[in-house]
Amino acid sequence: MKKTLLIASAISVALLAGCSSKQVVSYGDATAVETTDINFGSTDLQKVASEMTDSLISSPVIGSLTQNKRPVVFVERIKNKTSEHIDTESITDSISTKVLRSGKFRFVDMSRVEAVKKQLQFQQEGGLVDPTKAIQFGKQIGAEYMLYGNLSSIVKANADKKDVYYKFTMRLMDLESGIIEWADETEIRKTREKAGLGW
Amino acid sequence: MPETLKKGAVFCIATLLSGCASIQLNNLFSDYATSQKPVRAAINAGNVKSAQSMLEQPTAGNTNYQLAMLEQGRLAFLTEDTKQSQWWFNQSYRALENERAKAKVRLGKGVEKFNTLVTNDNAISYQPPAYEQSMMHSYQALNYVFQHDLEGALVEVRRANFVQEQALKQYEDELFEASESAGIDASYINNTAATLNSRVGDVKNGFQNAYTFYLSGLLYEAAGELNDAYIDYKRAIEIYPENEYLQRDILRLGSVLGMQTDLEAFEKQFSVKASEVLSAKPTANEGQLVVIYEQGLVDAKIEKSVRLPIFTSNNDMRFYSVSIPSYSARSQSLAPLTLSVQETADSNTAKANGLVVNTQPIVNVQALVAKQLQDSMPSMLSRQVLRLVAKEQVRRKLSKEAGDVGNILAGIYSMASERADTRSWLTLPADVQILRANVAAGAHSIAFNNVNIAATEVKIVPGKITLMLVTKAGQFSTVRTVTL
Repeated sequence: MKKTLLIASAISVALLAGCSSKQVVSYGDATAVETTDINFGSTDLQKVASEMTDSLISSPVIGSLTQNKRPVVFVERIKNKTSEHIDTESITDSISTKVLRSGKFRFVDMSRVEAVKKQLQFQQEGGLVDPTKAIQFGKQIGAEYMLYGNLSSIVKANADKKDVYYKFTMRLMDLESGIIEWADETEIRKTREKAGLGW
Repeated sequence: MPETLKKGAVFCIATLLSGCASIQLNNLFSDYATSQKPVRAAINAGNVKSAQSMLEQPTAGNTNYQLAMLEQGRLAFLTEDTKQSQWWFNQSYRALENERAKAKVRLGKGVEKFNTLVTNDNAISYQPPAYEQSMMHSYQALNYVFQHDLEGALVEVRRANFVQEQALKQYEDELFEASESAGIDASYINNTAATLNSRVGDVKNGFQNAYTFYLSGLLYEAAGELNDAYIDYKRAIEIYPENEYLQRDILRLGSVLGMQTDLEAFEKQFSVKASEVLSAKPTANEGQLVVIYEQGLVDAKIEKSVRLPIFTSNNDMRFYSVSIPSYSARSQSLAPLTLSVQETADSNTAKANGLVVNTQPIVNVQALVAKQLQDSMPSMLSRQVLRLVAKEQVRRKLSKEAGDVGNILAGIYSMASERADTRSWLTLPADVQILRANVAAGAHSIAFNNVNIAATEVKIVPGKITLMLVTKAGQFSTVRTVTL
């Protein structure tokens, strides 16, 4: 009896010790499909950004708009209407970077206006910068188009399943006429089914 | 030898299971409500900082993990430590999400069930009921609001609404199941049920919380999404139809959105008339002041001994004494807050009489928690019966093998381990009341007429909603203001 007990406890200890293992750090592919959980993740961000940019650049209307010039665009913001805290600025960053890379548009960045103002003020009034070489106020070019959008979601769940549907809508508005020159949407559906048996 | 082998195998499995499940025994022999008394006393004495130091530190694996995080978050909220509070509530949400993502059949839960069989319900890890989850998201939404992040607040509001929708769905399923399988007869615990019934009043269910819906509507309204706001106000009025401010909001938004059929139906039901509401619309140089008044601390559960009749295998009835959670019959008295709004005039001619307004209740948390307990009573009792049987088996076995000593030991163990599950989020307010008034733009001084809180300065912005959160529990009070 005593021997069996000893063996049994030895096995338990050995098994428990097996449970704890060393941590592993490794590099992965930044564009690999990520399915850690059902929440909005990097794959969704990449999918949304690349689909929107492709659609914008390949649109025939945009082709005619950008034939002889590179219009100036400002990105308003993506409104987060989902039930997750999503950094929508990161989505707009991805999109504007891709669009800028295509060479069809030029951008003005509204999120850095304060910093620019501060710098210009320093150049003008700081006394350190040569006044003849200081950047003048009132020389910037105003945006002609505004890019904006919405990200919304519908979440449903029961005891076995959770389903999340994301819809991402983007529009490009001509600021002078108020006409929407381009709009598109992309959808993502993710489903999580619970494991049957677990700890 | 086969017998030894069998015993060895059982021992081995038991050790393994208990090793991974990390059973916590510390919560088993004390009840939560009693252990939290000093914390609540410190809050009532106005000393939230010392209450915070007395709180249990949340540790993953502890059966009170979820609860400890909620208490921490709420106390951080009371000390106006927005970042810290936000962090705790976020941790709590993530823990809940992890819990929800877990497998349908769980070995760990099996071990827990086994543990409750030989100990008590405190061995089950605490899962916040829907009303606590929706309150958590409401506080989280306010945390975002106080950081001027309306979009983030709306995310929390959507989560709160999702919790309530899920709870409603689950509740309907459970009602359906309950009608099919008759559980044990609860009429034997009449004395307990009676106090519960009087507390519950006419609350329909233990999870639908008009305050969360109202906050949601208010934030949607501030964000200019009037249709969403209208829907949430409508949900709130379904739960709390008596609130006149809510009635006014519905009539006001309904007429803006042109919901004619709705309006006609509501007018018949309400004590306020639509024409009255429309004539009292805020003018161009007026803003709206919304006051949320949180009052007191929600009552703690108490242990109550009941004698449960059990039929033995010989079919004779025996009474066993068990303890179950309940509420005392006397609940604290709740009163509306009266405040007077006085213009802090730039000139020396201060106006003689300002606006005097009263808050009206939007949720009675006391009734919600009582209803929640009432709803969970059948399953609690059936666990209790199983536990009695298990403990009786242990006693018999011990008395057979160890005689009188074994019998006495088993008896002592049964008594000591007979602890009711009195866990609930104890730093929540007892009730929440609201008020909405049109106030001329500019600086105002707000005096609280019937409670001992110092007058507060508030700046009303034309066309905007100024939210004022007043919390009062015993000697403790805070007033926080934000323009939405």
